[in-house]
Amino acid sequence: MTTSNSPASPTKPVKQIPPFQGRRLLPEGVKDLFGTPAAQLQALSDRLRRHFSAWGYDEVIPPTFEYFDTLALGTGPRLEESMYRFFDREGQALALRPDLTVPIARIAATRCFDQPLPQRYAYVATVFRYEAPHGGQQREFYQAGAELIGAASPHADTEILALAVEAIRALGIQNFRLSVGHIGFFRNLLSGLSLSKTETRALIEAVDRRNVPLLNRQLARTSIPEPDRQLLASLPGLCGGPDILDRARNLLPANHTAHAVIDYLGLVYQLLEAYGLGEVVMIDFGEVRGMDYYTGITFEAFAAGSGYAIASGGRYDDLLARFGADLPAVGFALLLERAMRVLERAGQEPVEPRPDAIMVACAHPPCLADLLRRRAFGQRVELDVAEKPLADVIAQARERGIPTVLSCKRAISTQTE
Amino acid sequence: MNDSQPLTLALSKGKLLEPSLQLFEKVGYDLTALRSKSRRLMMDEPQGQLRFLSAKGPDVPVYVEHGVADLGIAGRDVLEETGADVLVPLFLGFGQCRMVLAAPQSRPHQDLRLAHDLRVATKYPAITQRWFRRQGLSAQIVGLGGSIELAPEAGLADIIVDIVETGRTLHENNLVEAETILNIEACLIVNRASHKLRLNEINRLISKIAAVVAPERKS
Repeated sequence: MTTSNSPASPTKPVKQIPPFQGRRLLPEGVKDLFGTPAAQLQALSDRLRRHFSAWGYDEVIPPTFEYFDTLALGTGPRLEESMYRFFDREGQALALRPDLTVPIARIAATRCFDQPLPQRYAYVATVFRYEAPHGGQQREFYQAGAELIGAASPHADTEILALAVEAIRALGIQNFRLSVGHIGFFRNLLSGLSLSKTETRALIEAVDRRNVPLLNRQLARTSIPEPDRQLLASLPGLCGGPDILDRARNLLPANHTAHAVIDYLGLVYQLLEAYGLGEVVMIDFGEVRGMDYYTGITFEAFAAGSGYAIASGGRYDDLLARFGADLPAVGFALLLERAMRVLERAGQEPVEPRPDAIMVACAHPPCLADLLRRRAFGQRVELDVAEKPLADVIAQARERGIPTVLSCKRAISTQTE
Repeated sequence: MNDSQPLTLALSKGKLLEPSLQLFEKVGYDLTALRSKSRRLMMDEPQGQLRFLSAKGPDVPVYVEHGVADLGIAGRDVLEETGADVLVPLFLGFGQCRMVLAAPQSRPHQDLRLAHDLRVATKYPAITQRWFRRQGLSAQIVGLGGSIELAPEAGLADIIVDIVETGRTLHENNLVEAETILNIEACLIVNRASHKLRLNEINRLISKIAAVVAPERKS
C-alpha cells in the first residue's frame, strides 16, 4: 500500500535503523496505517457509520479481548482455531475477538434481552485471526457490519440484505453482485436421507467446489434414492438470476418440503426488487458452506477487482440461545481492506489527508482569530509553528500540494507559477 | 459484467502444458500464436475471449484464488498442497499420477505407529502433514525441493512421500510403495468471485470443456 503524499519519487534506499537492524519492526499480520490509507479508511468508516445510523442501527463497542470460553461458545470450530489466545495473571484464558457477531450476540442475550425487539447493532472495528494473510486481509483487519436481533421475518432478512448492498454503494463500489442462498434448501434435501456425518461432509465439499463429477461419485457411494440424488446433483448449477427460483421449483416433486424455502427466497427477492435492488442480486442454492452456523438465508458480495468476497452474512437463529436468550438474528460483515482494494483497482481517487492552507505564524490577534474562524468553518488550516521564512513555507506547501499560504490576511496561491 | 475483458486462464508450465493446450484446441480455440511464441507469459487467443497466462504449477492455484486469473488448470497435488479456496468444477482426465508413501525395500512393512522419531522426506509438506495427522500419527517432515527418492539412502529420512507415474524411479532407488495418499489428475479451477461476476461466460466455457473431456474418461 502506498503511504506517501507526494508524487511518485524514485525508490530511496531503505535506511536501517540501528536498534532494529536484522529484526522486523512489526510481527507478521499487522500493519501501520498513516497518511492516505489512514485517511481513506477513516473516511470510509465515517460513511458506513452514518449509513448504519440512518437505517436505525446503533454503534456497539465490545471489548477487544474477553474470556476465551465465552467467545468459543459462539464461534464455530474454524474460527475458534484462529483465535489469538493468551492468559491473564490469574491464569484465565483470554482471546482477541475474531469477529463482532459473537460479542454482540453475548451483549444482546445477556444484557439487552428484556429491551424492546428487534434490536439493531452496528460496528466498524478491528478483528484478529491467526490466519495466512489473503485478499489484502491481514491478521488484524477491519470489519464493518450490522446485526438485526429479535426478528425472523422476510422483511428482517431483506433489510439486512439491502443494508449490505447500500453499504457497499456508500463506499463508492459500483460493479458488484450480491449472491443470496438459503441453507434450508440443502437441509431439506438431506432431511430423511439419514446420511452419516462423513457422507454429508463429502457432499458439502463437492457442492461447495461446484464439482459435479465428484458430487456424482460421492452420491453413488451413498444409499440415496435416485430422485433425491438427481436433486442434489443439480445443486452446483442452481446459481444465477431470479429464474433460478423457477428452475429449482421445477426440479422438486410437487409436495417436497423444500418448496417452502424457494417461496421464502422468492418473497425476499420480491422485497429486494421493491427496494430497487433486483439487478445486483443473484440466487445461489449451491451455497452450502455455512451449514453448521447459518439457519436461513446466507449471502456473499463479490466486486470486480477482488478475488475474494467483500462482504458476507446470513441468518443465525441458534447463536443467541447459547448465551441464554433464544432470539433469532441476521447480520453481515463487510471487509474494509478488501473494499479499499476494490476502490483502488477501480481507479477511485483516495481521500488525501491534505490541509487547505498553511498560515505563517505572525502572532497578530486578528490573524489568529482569522485562523480559528477558518477552522470553525471546516477548513483545514495548519499554522507554521516552525517559523520558516515565507518562501520556505510556500515551497513546502507547493511540495505537499496545499493550494494556499496565508500570511497576515494575504492569501498566496501556491499553484499560479 | 466486464464483457469486453477476456477471461484470464492460468496454465501450468511443465508437463501439464501440452495436454492443456490440446484441450483448448479441441474446445475450438486457435492457439498457434501461443505455441509459436511460448516464451511470452501472457497471450490472448484471436477471438479475444480467453487470455492465457503461463505460470509455475504451484503458482496457478494462488493466481486463481487471488483472482489474478479467473480460471486455471492445476494438478490436484498443488491444489491440495496450497489449500487454495477455489472452485473445482471439472477433473480433466490428464496428468494422472499418484502421491504415495514409499519405504526402503529393506523395511517395506514397518509399522508407522511403532516407529518413533519418524522422518518423512517430501516436496509436499502440507499434504503429508495432513495425511499423518488424519492417521493419528506424528512424523517429522523434511521438506525438500526435489530428488526425494535419495533421502532414505542418504540418511535424511526413513520414508518418503512423492509422486509416482510408473514406479521406476522408486524401484531404482530401492524403494517400495506402501500406501497411496492422493490420486492426482489435472483439474479446472475457478475463482469464487469470477464465478459470480462472470457466471454465464464461465459456465459456457466449463460446459464446452466438459463436452470434450467427458467422452474420453474411462470411469
